[in-house]
Amino acid sequence: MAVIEAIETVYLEADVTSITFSSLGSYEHLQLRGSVRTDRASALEPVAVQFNLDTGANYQTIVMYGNSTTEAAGAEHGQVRAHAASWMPTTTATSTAYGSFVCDILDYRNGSKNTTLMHHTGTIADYTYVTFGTGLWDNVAAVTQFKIYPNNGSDFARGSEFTLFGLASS
Amino acid sequence: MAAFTVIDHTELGAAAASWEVTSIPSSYDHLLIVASIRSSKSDWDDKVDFQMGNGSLDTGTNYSDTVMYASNAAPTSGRTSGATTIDHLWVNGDDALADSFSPLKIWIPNYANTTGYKQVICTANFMVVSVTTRWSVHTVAGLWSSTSAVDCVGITETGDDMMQYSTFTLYGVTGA
Repeated sequence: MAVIEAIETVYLEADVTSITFSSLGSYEHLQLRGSVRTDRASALEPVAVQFNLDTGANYQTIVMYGNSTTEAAGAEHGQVRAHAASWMPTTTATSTAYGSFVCDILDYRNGSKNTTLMHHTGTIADYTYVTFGTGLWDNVAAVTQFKIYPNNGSDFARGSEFTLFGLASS
Repeated sequence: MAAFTVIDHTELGAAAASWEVTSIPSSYDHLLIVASIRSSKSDWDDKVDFQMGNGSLDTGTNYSDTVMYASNAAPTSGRTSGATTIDHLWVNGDDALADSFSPLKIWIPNYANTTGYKQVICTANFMVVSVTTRWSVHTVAGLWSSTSAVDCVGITETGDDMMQYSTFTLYGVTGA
């Protein structure tokens, strides 16, 4: 088995409200890479993630960011989702603009630790942001599936693409 | 040839002060460490130290790093030079949310070259959910001022331990 394998790629031919990855294999870590745009009417929208479809207030997110004029940071605790990526372009951005992100999900099968993720995001379109952050699911259950969706309730736009990789440890 | 090779994977079966890999082959182009760490220190957070070496970990004052971080406030930066480790790698302490481990990644590009110093890029974060103002995110550029090829790497928790279930994976990364 190769150390890094592509588990699944989703390319959107039409808008969708969410994507669920339910065949996660038996790797040590996961990595989700995305090229994303959403249909939100307002500017910018994060990519939310829920593990094992848990909708309880069991998630945290911390992030720092800059947008060429302002540097700031923030945290959200006791939320119903973490962020797998920070701000992605929306309908207010140039129609061809898609943001990019890389999200590492560590030790997702380890039943003795809460699941943590680390993400790096870039958006260059009308609103320019670079972000770096971490998320936490306060649950030690092994992750068997996870759902991503636009944080503010819009759709992922046609042309968005996601690839999930598995990173083995042997 | 596979682009990524697992050189070492360790999950701590009991608390330990350090993780170290020696005799790393020079046949890869880059190294990548992916770790998930919690410290036993009775505090919200703790720093772990990263060292490299040839034959053994270099404990001399040959390390420097520049960090950009945010800790419940706007991002800022800092620098350390003439240090014995690359630090600014903050992880959860034992007063952080139970069962929560911090993610840590360290890239060591061109680790086997013998003409230049060794530059690394690190990312490390911690959060303490029970105290919502205690969290931070860090990205670190580190330098080992040695032209020796890197054949050993180590992460150490000075004064305390890294707790059971902490994991460390060292990958060798090969180009085409």
